[in-house]
Amino acid sequence: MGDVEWIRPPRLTEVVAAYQGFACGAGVRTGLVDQLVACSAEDPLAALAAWASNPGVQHDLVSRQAARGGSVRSQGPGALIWALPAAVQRLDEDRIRELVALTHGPDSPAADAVITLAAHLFTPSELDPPDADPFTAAGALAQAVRGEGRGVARAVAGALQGGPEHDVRLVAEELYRRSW
Amino acid sequence: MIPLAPVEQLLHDYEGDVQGFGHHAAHGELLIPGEVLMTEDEVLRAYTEESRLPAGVEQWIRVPLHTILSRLGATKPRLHVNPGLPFEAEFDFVELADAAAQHMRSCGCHDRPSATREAARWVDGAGHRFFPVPHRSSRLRGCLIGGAIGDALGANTENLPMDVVYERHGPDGITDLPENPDITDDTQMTLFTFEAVIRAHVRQRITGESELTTVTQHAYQRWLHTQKTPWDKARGLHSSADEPDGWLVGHRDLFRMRAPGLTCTSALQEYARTGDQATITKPANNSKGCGGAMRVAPVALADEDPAVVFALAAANAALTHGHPSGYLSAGVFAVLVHQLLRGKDLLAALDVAVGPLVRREDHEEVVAGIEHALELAASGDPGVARVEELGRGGVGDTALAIALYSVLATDDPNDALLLSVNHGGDNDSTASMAGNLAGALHGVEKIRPDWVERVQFRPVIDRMVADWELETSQAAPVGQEWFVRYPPS
Repeated sequence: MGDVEWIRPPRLTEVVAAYQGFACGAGVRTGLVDQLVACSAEDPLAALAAWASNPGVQHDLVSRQAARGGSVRSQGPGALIWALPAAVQRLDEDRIRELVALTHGPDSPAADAVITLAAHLFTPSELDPPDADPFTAAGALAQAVRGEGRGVARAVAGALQGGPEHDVRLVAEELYRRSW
Repeated sequence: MIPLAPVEQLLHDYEGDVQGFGHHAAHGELLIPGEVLMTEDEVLRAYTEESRLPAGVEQWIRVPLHTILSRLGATKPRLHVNPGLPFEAEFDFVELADAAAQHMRSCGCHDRPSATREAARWVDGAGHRFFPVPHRSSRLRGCLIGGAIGDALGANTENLPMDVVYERHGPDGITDLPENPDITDDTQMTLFTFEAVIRAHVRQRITGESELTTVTQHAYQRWLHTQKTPWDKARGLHSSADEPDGWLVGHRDLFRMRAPGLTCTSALQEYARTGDQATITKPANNSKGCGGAMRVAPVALADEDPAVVFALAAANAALTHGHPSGYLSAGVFAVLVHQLLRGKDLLAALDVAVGPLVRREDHEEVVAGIEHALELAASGDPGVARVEELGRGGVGDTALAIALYSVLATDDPNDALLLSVNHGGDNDSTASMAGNLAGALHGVEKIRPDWVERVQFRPVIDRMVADWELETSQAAPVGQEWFVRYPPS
């Protein structure tokens, strides 16, 4: 397994903008933001377990079930959430796949889209992912790049564009500090 | 002259003496019409003899007074014997129970096992079955009647653009049942599913063998026969029956072509020709049409375990629809009904239903539809535009999404039905599924009474619900007439 080619570390302002953009894009899907917070924790496994045991709304259904235990293998779009903390921490591919496995099962096809998004997120390069079914992570990524879709795709589109002030900035700042 | 029934003799001997009557009549038997137990009246009407039952009563139970007092006294404070007839008497349950209790203490009959079993075993000389219709059926009636109402609401506008619907029905679209509130293939197939669930239960009870899916296949072959397929072409290679059996298929009103789904009919015809039952791993086709999901609500009754219900409903849908979005949406739908019948709210039910879903291959499209429905329901402003954003309802995942959205976006089952039927897609199926969910969630009492009264096949649904309650009660029939009514195959 190879490493993601991290060009340079992201700036704090970029990280905060991405997190705030994600929250803005998520809209009524506030559970996606809660999930992003859990995925950005120092111990994501424990944080996801705690997140899944609390009442929640509008979350990624696949991640929620996986965090409660049991086998899941999914290529659903919710996996893309991992791209944000992965990019901030500049994780290698193996670690990203491990994290994706927590919510979407081992060997999830969604991991490739997550890695693609993570590698691109804080770079100026153009992202041109191939079209795929919109109910998959790959398809949601393609929609997000075009500013289309809803739910996770819309949240990721927000992350790519940046967003206004939101409480999630504190999580972004904490993760940024921890990444150094 | 009719000889006096024992209770009539006691009513005569202890007229006006509650203590005396209660003390001596504890083992006396009264007849209770099944319909009486389904009403909310505070007075329980009972009769001393079969000939005194009101005209039109078809179902009744013979119950000893002490059983009435112990089981029904809490819900119906007063007992009215022979209203308007000879030997009429009215009692306060508490007072009568107190009198009967004195007898029970001195007699010791309350401790004998026969006293608790006796109500479960009666058969009269003519072979009649006697059974109670308990109150717990409200949600089940709501589910099935709600589904039929939704089906009838959309029966005449399936796949018509909303512009046409507005032209025909006015600016608010569909707001009421049509003049002839006839159901379509959705309810027809749901009834055959329900029949299969009952027959499978009978089969398991007498043979120990659990086999719902094959029994359901046979039920759908009988439905196929009602759709102008000769019986010898519909019954399948494995059947040698000269004619379709069971009570349901005897309803001639079922023998009407009400826009049957081509996917269903062709898959069932293929089974009839080859004898090969389609499964998830040996699919009939690659269809994800909503015909697999719209019929499975009764599968919710087949097991206590929601994971088993999911698997059974998915296997049911796979008999005719081979695409995962066709059969997985059926699994989710049946588990939703399963949970709602147990009193859960819709979001809690969904939480349970998603569990087995995400553990199946190729669940993503169905998950996306559910998440879309949740998102739109949280966005407010329910209406046609929101519903049509979810799709046309012609496939399992979008039909499920529209039904789910409609029930989530309102807190009234009638509004949910109208929301789910006013769009330019497969609106009889989406409204049927929404009606199943809304009725199971709110109970039949919350559905417009005129709709409940008018919708086609409501008496059949009521009868089948009563039969299901009987079949799953301690008084499950063992007579031949029951096995003719619900053959175990």
